[in-house]
Amino acid sequence: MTESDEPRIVIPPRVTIPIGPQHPALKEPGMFKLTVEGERIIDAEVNIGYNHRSIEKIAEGRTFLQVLYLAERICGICSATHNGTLAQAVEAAAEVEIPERAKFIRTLTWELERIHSHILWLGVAFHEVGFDTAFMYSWRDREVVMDLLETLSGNRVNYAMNTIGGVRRDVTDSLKETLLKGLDKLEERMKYYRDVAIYEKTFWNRVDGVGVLPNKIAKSHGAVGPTGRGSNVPTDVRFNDPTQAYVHLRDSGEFEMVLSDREDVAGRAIVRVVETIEAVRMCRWLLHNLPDGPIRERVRPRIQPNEVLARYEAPRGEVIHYLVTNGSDKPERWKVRAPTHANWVSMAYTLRGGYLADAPIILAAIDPCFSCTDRVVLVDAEDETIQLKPLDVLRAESNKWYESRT
Amino acid sequence: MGFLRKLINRARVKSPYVFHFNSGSCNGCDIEIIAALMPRLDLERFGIKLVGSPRHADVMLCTGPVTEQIKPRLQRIYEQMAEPKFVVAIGSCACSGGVFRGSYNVLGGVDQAIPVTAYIPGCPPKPSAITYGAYKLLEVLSEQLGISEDVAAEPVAEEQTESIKEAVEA
Amino acid sequence: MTETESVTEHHMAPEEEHEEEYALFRQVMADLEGDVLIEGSYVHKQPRRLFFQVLPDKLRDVVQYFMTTHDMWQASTLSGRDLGDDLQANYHFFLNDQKIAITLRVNVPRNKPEYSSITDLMPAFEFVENELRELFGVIPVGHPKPRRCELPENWPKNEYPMRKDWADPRGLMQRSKTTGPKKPEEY
Ligand code: SF4
Repeated sequence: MTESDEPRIVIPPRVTIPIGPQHPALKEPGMFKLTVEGERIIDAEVNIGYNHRSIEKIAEGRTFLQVLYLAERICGICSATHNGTLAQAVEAAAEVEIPERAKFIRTLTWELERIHSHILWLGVAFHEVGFDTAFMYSWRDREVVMDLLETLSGNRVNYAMNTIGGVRRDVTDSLKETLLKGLDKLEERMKYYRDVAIYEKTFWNRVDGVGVLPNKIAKSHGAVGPTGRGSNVPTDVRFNDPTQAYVHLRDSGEFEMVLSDREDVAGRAIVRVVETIEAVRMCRWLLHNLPDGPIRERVRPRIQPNEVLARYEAPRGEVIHYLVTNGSDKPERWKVRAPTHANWVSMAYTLRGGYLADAPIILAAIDPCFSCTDRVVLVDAEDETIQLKPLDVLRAESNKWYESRT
Repeated sequence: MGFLRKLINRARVKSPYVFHFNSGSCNGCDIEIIAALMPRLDLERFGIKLVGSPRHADVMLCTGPVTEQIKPRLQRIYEQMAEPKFVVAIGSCACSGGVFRGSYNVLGGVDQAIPVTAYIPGCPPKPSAITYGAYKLLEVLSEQLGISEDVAAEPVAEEQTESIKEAVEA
Repeated sequence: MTETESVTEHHMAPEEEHEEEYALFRQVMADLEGDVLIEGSYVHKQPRRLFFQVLPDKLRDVVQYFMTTHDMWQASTLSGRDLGDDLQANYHFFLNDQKIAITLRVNVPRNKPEYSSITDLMPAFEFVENELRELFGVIPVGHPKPRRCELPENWPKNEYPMRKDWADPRGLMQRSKTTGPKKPEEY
């Protein structure tokens, strides 16, 4: 660890504020213990494990097809991610090549999911900085992509699009038209949000220079996804280690990894917004170049002994499934690394040295998922009086603090 | 029943404040709750308002199976709510444990930790199902609190949802 | 549960299609002779995947070698595995220059599952190493912040749920198979 990582020694009164532990995150809801001195955060600690559902253990008793649906329910926001990555892992273990059309449809679902996840994040970020008009706007427009996903897969959240050996639903010509029309609308709206995020002072002043994560720290602390790319770390599995139709997308030369060298929350916001526009273009490219053919390959339920490392870039960062098969129809070992898990370490760093008023947006910036119901307990170090404080009160206070400063 | 009490109960039915608690869910249900509160299906037109603190809430919306670590917290939060209090279990997980039945760290549905008033099944339930569940809850509430008249709110008819959808798409 | 231990024919990649991988593989094997075992190290058939079996007390040296020679900074994750007599820790990394994902793994005996932690070299492993200690009982010695992270506070000391021989002594896995709400007095 570097020197700056060490918590500084300070003069009392030092106050510890635990946020959480109920933090509605994916697999890892956390409790954040912030130690503050006046308005400055001097130390931050993350406790996780409140949401441990022992999915990896249950999976060892279920067949691959059942695990596929279990994987989907690791996280409701990246459901297609885990579902598709596991399908990909099982196919690699069985050494089956799935049809081209299935690859394209799988990638299409992934990219649509990225759009929905990023718009969701944008709304939450607007909410955290107290810009609720834009929050409502972005969530209204999110319904457009939710409708597209619903027409494509039949469900709004857990799509169940992937199966072992391909996908379960085809894209017909009329569906293609609907999707293209929806994508046009989305692109137009996203360009509007890009301008809002960059030129609207209400938002920009709250994120500019906040939560700085230097490039070097981002690398050594393993930041992934938009958190890393906002600090100019080139980690994007879609371009570094492409699978499925991403190989074609990369080879077409029309798409590039989105990077920002701002290293703060603003950088992460820009990366996400620009990436959404890229994702819309990717979806359009996939629909225009959709090859013909079957959408599914038969795979025998028993998978030969093998070990596989499947990677994919989820909306929040790199997802890894390490799968060991043993010749039966059940996994021997299945390890999932969700991206937020990787981002906790670097987030504790970003919180240090920031203002308490910025804590909500810094927490939100790694996109741990919603923090709508969190409550904060204020513990005074000396007299141990405990004061319950919901996060929205903290948010309102932080907004007030900013108003009084300018 | 005194006039004042009647008035308060009436206000409770007309405008219940809800509080959302995640007891180990996968987030699917949580985003659908928020989606139900957002412009398209706007639960607030029934007077339902999301608040951030259990002390202000009449109804707790619970999502997810109850994990071992979250159980004491869930119970403590339930105790913090003011009487009368109601709990709605949203999603298959909160109703019965869902796909996570058989895990060593999961207790099953929310009803294994605290009493539940209403169940909304589905994985996740669509926002319209949540709206419908909320409407049903208001009915139950008015019964329990002794308010006999109909609740002002009607569930959204299927055609209405369609027309809203079209309006948004246009 | 026997055949997974040894490398089967499904793992090995044909040399013609995986030239880059084999080039790196040979270089590493030559540089690290003695630290990396040939048994259990191979090029996987999946594109861009290498696996290395490392001696437990040499893990830090090997990681340092990769960090200096191959500019390895992207730490992916750590997964544990139960092999029967041995327990295994798999460190997954990604080399951004060569665009190859490598896995370094160490086997530790079940009766003394210890090896030295690498969290001080790569802070990214702070949480996953704690997780490994909790779920598998493999102890990364020298971890800077050992603490509870996944399991409940009242979990007994020497029970490790992810081990294959964990027999669920308290009937926890049956507990959640409920058929209805509890009675009011039971809450
Ligand atoms: S019911 Fe389904 S969507 Fe809801 S928390 Fe459970 S798994 Fe997730």
